[in-house]
Amino acid sequence: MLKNFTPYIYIVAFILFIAACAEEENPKFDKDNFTSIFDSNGFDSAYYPIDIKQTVDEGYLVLAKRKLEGEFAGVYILKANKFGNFESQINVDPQLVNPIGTLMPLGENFYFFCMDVASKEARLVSINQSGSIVGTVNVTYTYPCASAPSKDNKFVLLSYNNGDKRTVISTIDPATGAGPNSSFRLGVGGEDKIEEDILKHFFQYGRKFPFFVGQLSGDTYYFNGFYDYTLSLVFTRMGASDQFTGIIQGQHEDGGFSAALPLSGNRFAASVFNFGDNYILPNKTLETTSNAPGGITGLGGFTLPELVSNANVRNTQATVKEKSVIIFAGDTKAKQIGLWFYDEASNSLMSSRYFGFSNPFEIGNVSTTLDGGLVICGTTYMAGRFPRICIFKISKQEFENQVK
Amino acid sequence: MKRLYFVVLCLLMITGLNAQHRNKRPKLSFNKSGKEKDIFLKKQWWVGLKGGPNLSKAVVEQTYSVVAPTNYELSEITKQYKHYKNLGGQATLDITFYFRGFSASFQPTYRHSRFEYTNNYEWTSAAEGSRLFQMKYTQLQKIDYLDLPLVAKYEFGIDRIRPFIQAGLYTTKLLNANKIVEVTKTDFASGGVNEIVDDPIIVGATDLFAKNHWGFIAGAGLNYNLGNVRLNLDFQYKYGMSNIASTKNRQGNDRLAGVGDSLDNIKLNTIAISVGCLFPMRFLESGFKSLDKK
Repeated sequence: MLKNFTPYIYIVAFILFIAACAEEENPKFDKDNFTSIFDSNGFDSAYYPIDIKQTVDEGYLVLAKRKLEGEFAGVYILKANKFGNFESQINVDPQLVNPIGTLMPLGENFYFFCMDVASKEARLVSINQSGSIVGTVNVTYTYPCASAPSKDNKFVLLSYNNGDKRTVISTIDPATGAGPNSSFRLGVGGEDKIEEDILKHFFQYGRKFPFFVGQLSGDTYYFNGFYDYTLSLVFTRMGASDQFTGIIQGQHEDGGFSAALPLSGNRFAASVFNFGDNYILPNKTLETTSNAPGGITGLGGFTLPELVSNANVRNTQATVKEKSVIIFAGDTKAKQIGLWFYDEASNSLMSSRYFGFSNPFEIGNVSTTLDGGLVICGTTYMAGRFPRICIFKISKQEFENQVK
Repeated sequence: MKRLYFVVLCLLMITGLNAQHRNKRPKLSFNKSGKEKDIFLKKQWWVGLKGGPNLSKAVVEQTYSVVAPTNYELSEITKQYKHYKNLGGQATLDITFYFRGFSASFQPTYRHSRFEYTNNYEWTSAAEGSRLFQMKYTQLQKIDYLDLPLVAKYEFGIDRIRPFIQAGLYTTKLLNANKIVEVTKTDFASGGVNEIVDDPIIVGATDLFAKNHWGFIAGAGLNYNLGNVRLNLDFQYKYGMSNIASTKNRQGNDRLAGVGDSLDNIKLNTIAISVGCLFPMRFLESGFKSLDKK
């Protein structure tokens, strides 16, 4: 009996065998790894991303500058879904200009600072998980340069007071837009030259300085800004003016820190530029309580000749395969976005990876994702000329492959 | 892979059951020469080679794009496929068992398929309409496959010319794939019309395609009996049933992602024409004469 059916069983088995050869479909694959380039067909449109953050729906919010007529860059917010597809955008009213990073999560919203085009005062803008603006708070500090979350659900703001010609660090209450500050002189007698360079930083086409700010544990804050003629990493306790606990001076405006990420205690993952050269310090103890002798030149570090001169560098930290990994991202001479993966414990390079071919690519920022992967935002120049926002997402598995 | 293990397990079980019920085969009687007229063609194994050109059509199941428009419709930059335009080729080893008009044929085939699509982009100035820049990507896929088809044929007609129809299934293993991207830009905004043709981007793309896919085969053909050998003209239409793109590595090539390319989910249909020669494997004696033609 069975013998009579055997040929048919073989045929059915063969069909099943063939059907089993089909490619496995899984939407997760499209979420794990993707590249997206967000294009506008405007000949004169230009977008330069500053930061990217993942939302609760696993989508992404991108904060970017957009080209405007006039001196200052406009504000642009883009929302993409978890597959990197475009969802929505906001070309913020040109009354608000010069957005600065980072996109700071607080409660259910994200916050960022930008500048009022008329008064030059900072504005604190809150956006929801969909990328819609839900509030704007006036901040009296002028020319915002950099910001970061503080430890007490507030924000730390670095700004420039062009009236008194002073660098100002302040903590900002998101409800009131006010908070204590410390200010630091540009340098007696040399303010005009430095101020000219600082103000150009705020113009769309001026040289950009790597301003950043943050809070260490306790009441110690740090900022990378101008003090006494020099771009310096300054450690201070909020309150008195021109009072710092520690300082690492750069080389006027030709050298200084390009990024610094506190690890623990006085240890930082940092990068330094010095007359065009770039140095990576994956795990460096910095002097936060005194004037570091030699300034940045005494820090050493690994040189990365593939980085462009005085490169934009971003860094973040993640735990992968039970290792603390420091990821540096920067612009390479090959017009790609380079990522370098360092082992924090051994202070050694594990691997590198490059994003973008054919057209130029520049780093915006890099961030970890909820699924254990990495997301990188940047600018690509479509057709070699139109600046557009791009996102690269790599999966947890690919991220782990970078960790040796 | 789990599905594959399951199927292999089923096959092993069937084979085992079949072995339990196998009776002794009766002694074949048709091997007695001269007993029946034309016995040579009543039951025969044929083995031969055939080859020829093919044309392919990519059928889009789901479209994917690296470029996400923010102020225009995605349809404006959707890939435009060219169907049955790019010539490929195939070479086949044909192993056929023939019995009273019906044949079962296993035809392992090396197949080279090519298909092409284009993307068009355009940037204009809202203020000045004459500020226009256009860019066109022409993307050619060149894919090498090993097809493993199992085909049933029915042959009819008399004498030398014997038409046949055929139908079956095939599974395919990816051997190699390459992509060639040609970029043409036309600049209308810089004081004239300037066409820029970049050097083509040529990349290995094996990772971008599915390692296996499958489909149905239908076709027809003619056998021409020339002495003891058989000349064969074969027309086959391969109808792809599964996705040929790798869903896992869709954007696995940074160079292609950099120019905004991402493979769609596509099924591949192929028209193949082959000519070949088949040789009988039974009832032959020395001098390549058939036993029934003595």
